[in-house]
Amino acid sequence: MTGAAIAFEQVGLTTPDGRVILEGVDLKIASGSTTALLGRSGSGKTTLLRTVNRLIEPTAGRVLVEGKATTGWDPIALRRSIGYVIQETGLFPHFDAERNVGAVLEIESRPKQEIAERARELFAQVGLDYATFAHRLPYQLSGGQRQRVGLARALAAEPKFLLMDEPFGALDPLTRAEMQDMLRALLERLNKTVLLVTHDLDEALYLASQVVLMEGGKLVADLPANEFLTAQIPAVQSYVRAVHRGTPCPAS
Amino acid sequence: MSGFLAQHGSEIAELTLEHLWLCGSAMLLATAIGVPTGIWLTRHPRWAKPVLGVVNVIQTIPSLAMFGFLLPLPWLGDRAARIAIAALTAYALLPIVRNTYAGIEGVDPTVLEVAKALGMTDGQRLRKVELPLAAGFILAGLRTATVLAVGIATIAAAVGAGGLGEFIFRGVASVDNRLVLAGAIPAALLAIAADAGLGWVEKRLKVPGPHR
Repeated sequence: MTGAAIAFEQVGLTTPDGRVILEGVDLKIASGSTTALLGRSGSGKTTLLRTVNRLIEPTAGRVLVEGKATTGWDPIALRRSIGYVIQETGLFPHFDAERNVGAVLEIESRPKQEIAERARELFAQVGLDYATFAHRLPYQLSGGQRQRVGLARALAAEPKFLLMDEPFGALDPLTRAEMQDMLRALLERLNKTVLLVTHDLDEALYLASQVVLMEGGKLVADLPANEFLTAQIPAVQSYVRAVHRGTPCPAS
Repeated sequence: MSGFLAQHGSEIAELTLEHLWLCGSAMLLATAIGVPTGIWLTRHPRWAKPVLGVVNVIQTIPSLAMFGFLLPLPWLGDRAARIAIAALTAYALLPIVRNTYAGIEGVDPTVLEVAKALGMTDGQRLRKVELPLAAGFILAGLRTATVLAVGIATIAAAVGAGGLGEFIFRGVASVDNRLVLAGAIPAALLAIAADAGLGWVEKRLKVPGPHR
């Protein structure tokens, strides 16, 4: 497949004390697609995500980004071409919202004028009023606003890739739904290749075109989102049964 | 009292300046050595324990003995002020190294990971994230060190380095409390002023917000 923007080839990770975190993961992520990584805590999905921008180096196999092994990339250049959003965002607490958004451009020493213009654009894209929020520090923002700033920061340098690690995990359900709508609309316009780690099946199905299920460091399913709920794979069926309890309890 | 001040006023001013000069030079040196050492330790954590141990031990040497030890050294021993500055620098190192190290080590690892993930180089991470976030902590170390140096510098008069200790030693020798106070009060005021001034800077540098 030539369209694979990110490819995992037999990726494995074993800790020095012998714990197996990832084992034989083969996965291709098509350019411009959104892929959700599902699985319980400890299934290896976050670790897999972090091998893409070399925050973690696999001990077996290789990861290819744009057809080139990550080990062949300069790690700094690789990371700057990949947007990264995590739960609780990891905003720099001493940067105001605007400087957080422009952080990647700042470290690339882009002109101030350009950074300021881009920041205004990004505030609009993630639905934050520039005049109100630009100069607030992270602790002066709500969880949802922080997450918007985190997303804007990840998009700032116009990366082709976005890695998102439970970006909305810490939000209340309503804010979360708002953020999902915003992200979906944004992704439809921006044509990014997105890898999204989530615990939330609904979120995965709502945002992703491809859904991957991981269990104990192994990939157990890789399905188009619209086939996930009806798939005849035992691991998927039991996962769906466990997390998808759509019907309310009958009133007693 | 006013007669005493008239007689000793200019000397008090002179010795206060000398005291300031000793402490100021020592603090500049200690900062120039201590902050980079603290940073280096965060990059080479294996060395943290032994290095902090050494600066800790320096701190336990009685100051009078320290001045005595330095006396016979070549170059250093030639001039009393050199001895005083070297000794004060050595004492000031512990709070500076320790707080720089602890301040940077205390930076939220999530924030550091994000800095890395965004593509910051090690130098950028240090300058843009770690040092600003640890600044309040580092300043607190400088503040402790300064107050310490101002106090210990009074002992420097014992080796003839001058400073406000001059009055104190003279006063003790001649059993004249006025002379002792003429050294002790300005020294105390210097310490209080340094503490308040650096405290103010520390507050300005501290990152606002609920975290740490």
